[in-house]
Amino acid sequence: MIWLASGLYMVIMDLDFIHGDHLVRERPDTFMAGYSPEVGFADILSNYPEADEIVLANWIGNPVYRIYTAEGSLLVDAQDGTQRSPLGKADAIAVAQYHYARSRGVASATLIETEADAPTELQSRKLPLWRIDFDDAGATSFYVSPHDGTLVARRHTYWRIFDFAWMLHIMDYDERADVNNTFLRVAAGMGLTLSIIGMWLLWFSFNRRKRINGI
Amino acid sequence: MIIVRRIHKWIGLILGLQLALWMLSGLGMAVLPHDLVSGDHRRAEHGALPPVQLSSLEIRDPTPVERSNIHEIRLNILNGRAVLETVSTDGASLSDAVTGYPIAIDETLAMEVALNDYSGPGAVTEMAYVSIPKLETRSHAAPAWRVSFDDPEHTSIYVSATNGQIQERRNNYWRTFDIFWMLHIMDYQNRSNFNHPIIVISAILAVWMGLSGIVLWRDSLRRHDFNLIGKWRNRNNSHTLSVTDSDGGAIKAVRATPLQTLYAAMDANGYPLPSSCGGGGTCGLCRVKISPETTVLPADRRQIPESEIQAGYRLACQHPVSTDLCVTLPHGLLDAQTFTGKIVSSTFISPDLCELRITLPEMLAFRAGSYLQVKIPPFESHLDKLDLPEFVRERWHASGTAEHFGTDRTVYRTYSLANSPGELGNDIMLNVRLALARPDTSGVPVGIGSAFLSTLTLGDSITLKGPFGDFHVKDADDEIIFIGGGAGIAPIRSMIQDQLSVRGRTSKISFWYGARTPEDIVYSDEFAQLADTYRNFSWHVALSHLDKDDTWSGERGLIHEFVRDQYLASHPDIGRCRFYVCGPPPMLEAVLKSLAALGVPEDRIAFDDFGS
Repeated sequence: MIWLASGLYMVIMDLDFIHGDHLVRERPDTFMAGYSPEVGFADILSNYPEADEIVLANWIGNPVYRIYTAEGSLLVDAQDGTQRSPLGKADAIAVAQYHYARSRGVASATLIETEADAPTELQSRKLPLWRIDFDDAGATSFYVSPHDGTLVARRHTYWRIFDFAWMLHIMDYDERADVNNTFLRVAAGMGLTLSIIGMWLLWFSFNRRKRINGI
Repeated sequence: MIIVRRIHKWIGLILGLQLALWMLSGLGMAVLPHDLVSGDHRRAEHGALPPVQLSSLEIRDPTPVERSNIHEIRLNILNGRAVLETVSTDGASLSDAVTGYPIAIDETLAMEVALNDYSGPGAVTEMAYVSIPKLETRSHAAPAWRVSFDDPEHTSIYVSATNGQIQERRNNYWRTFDIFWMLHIMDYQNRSNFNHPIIVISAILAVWMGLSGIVLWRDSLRRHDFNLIGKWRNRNNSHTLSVTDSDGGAIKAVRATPLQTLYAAMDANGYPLPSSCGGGGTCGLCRVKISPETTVLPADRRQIPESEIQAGYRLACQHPVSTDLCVTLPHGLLDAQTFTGKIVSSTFISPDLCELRITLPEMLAFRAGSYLQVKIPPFESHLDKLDLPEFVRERWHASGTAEHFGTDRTVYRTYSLANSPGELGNDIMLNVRLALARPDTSGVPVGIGSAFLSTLTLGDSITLKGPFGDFHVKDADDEIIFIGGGAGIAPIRSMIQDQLSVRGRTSKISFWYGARTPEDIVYSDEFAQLADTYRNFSWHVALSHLDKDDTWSGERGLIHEFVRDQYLASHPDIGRCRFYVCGPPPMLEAVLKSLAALGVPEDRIAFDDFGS
């Protein structure tokens, strides 16, 4: 029954809505033709020689470099080469508001640094993260990485119910991610047996009294 | 509750397979290990190529940006080379970060990328260019190279043809998982959308099934159902069943263990009760009289009329033997036997009613109104093989009934005896209605019992069981009113013949015969002759399906209205009449309703339910 009810919730809720697509504004975020950053890839490499990957991108309207190293990521301004990361509260809020599609205000912004403080809705995402809560009906939360400045996750009430339904559905009550847990395997095996027995019994139950002369 | 049960059953029929598939596919997905499904077990932790430090290379700056629709420019290492990937709204393009030359992801490079990622025992067997993503790379838009390996799980690595990145690692674990996933979300085409109407409707129905299942479970559950320990402890304390037949005679005492239902206990002691539902409490044939104090279960209520419940009738298959009991069996059960007869004659006495005469090795003792069960063994036949009168064959043809028919398992069908006891010596007579499709049910199979019986020819053997039944005329001296028609004529004819010719009853007897057309009236000469001979007997016919211009000079209309308007409404003492009703289900229902409206007490009405 729990499978059925949680399954029903998951199929009736539109997946894009659950993903929070309606909360995020489409931003074109492309460069103007002919744009040339003050600081080039080679400059960045000489400043950050440990970089494995460097990305030139638009970040809330400003050109930046995202630098990925074995240790983590950094955000560097492409105009003057200053390092923007780790982001402070104001920057994190600016990122969240840049992507947020509605006009409601920010209710709170907190930096989550340790696993102990991390809500389950973050799943296995890397910490630290800024959590920006909006003052809207869906209790929207945006999570912003202080290192590369990206919007990492968006959560709202229906997502949280969906996640709860998913937990019930896969019966992994701790991590909500492991579909191979023994509990689920045993329960699914029993469920399969039950449904086969059910069909067998159904066959009997249609085999009702035949007292019609001639039929 | 019965409505809930019916709907539950029908939705179950429609949805049952999907429920089992959900369970099967859910189990399959739970059992397949996730790291095998994702292909991680064949993924090299460090590529085979030596690591390259970006900073050791002479990077040519790509700037300035050439086009206006560029999202980002990515500098990283691909197969030991520094590359620049330009991601634009139209897709991605790749160039060498040192030379600035564009890089095309060709077959050789794609294979290198795949080999660098792969850690299994397989070798590359095939390279294929996938220009439009198919099921295995459905979440990607870009074309790709599929690199297939000959390892046991048939790994395929997809390398993007635009940026050289690994798109997916697929193998047979994933392919199996994906089929389970498709069955689970019921998106058989793209296997990705689980918000489509079919699954939404299925899920709503399934939730209804679940909820109604819980309700029905509570309805059917009895406290001792789960008392396994108690049952186990009592397994050796048998109880005594005192068995009587419906006349109060033939008392025998048999033993029953408490683990058995009454039905099973009777069966174990050599008294097989009739049943066609296999103990599910849905056919109502196994009812026996126990005691009015016995708990009334929902199944009892569904199958047994209230007056009989109060008299102590219960379904034997639903009641466990938990104390010593006195069981009164339906009439004739103790004498019921299995015997074989031979067909003597088979005559259509109306367009759809066949009179079958069967001779038995010895005379059958039974009470008028009893029925027999006919064994229908597995058989197969076709209309063309049957020796039927031409007008029956034509009717069969015209009705659209399937012409090929049969059954692959033994079934039992029930027919009332049409003759009165002793009337035909060792012979018995059954009236078999050939059940053909109606205009609105064209193409349905023929009724299996009548089809089987119509395949029999003179001299063929037939296995019968019985007699059974409680549809008998009471001995009291009251006025008797028979109402019936169709195949229900059989027990009525038997009872009328018995009452008049054998028992010499003198109280008033009338028979109200409902038929569709003049051709459907059977035994009219007999009834006319009886009415001439016995002054206390009269019979009346009303026809319900006449054409307006038919020359029929008798009564028209439905029999329940006819008997009510012509006779019962003005009857001075309706409460002292006894009613015996037998006919097709709609007629039976209409008559019973009409009698109830006239205020006839339930215990004055006996009927044989040929329906459901």
